[in-house]
Amino acid sequence: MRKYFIVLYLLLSLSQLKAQDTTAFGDKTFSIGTNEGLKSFTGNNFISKTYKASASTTIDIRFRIYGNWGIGGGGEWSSPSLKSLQYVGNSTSATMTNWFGYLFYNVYLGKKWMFVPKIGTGSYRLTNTLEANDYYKTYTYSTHGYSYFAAPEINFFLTKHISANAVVQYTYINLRSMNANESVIGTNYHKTNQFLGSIGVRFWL
Amino acid sequence: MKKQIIVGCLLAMSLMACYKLHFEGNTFQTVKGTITDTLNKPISNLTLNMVTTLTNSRSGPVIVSTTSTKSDGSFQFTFPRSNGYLYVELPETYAVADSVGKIPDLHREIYIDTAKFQNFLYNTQTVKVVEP
Repeated sequence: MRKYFIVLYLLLSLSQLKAQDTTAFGDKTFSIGTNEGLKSFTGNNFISKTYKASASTTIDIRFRIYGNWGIGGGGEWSSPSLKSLQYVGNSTSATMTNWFGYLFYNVYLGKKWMFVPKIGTGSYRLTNTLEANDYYKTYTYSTHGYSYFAAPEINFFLTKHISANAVVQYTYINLRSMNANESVIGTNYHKTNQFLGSIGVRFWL
Repeated sequence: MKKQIIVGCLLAMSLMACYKLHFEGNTFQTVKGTITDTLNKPISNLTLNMVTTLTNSRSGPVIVSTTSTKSDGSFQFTFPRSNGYLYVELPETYAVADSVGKIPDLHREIYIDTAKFQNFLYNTQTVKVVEP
């Protein structure tokens, strides 16, 4: 019951903001957004050869801090299915998490459109799960690394406080301290290219 | 007394957690080799499991990788490194022949000496097997 009051309060607050607001579309200091997309991997690397394209969820917040420049941060999550067990053993499931920060610039295109190029970096984590018939049933092991990305984004403002957006993101994933006999296995265990296309909604406050 | 039981339980749980298989996500080992019969004829399409386990523990055995032998009898596994000991498990219908023409002890396991990995690779060389 309490959460319904909180949602109602937020809606009322937003409607009040809209009533009082005299700013232009996208001319806000803070925004929060969520995107749903599809991502895939390319290249001769164990991630590309092991995991299928998968759905991805992103949530991020953004502050405009100087002119049209700003910073943001958030997280991206996915659970890709496995297409090969040749490079990571008999894993049955995997999760990928990327906590990131970025720099952006707002480019206003007419009254309702805004283009937002972003570059950023993040902390990448891949967790695989092994299943067993023993006392513990499951075992997990994680692979860590860094991500570096560029992500152009286009927004269309539905109201002064809500925009719909589309993003195309290229991410270079560099895994750290990886040990494997790459020449015998015939694949790379350090570097991966990831492409992510997504659509979402952003709230401007 | 109640406090001592709780401390005892916590200690037991900690020990159990320590004596559990752990897998490393940043280190992948490879084991390769060849399977033949006792007359050196390669055996193809033989399903092999790479297994890791701990002795005197509830942890394991865990099948960390599965593969099949190729037409020339060769096989290769890649899997995350663990703190357990490793062996390749043959199908139930096969056993390792320790030397040509002699079967002193039928067993389905090809043991891997974890100390002998070189650059994360271990080669079992040719392993002769028989149908018991």
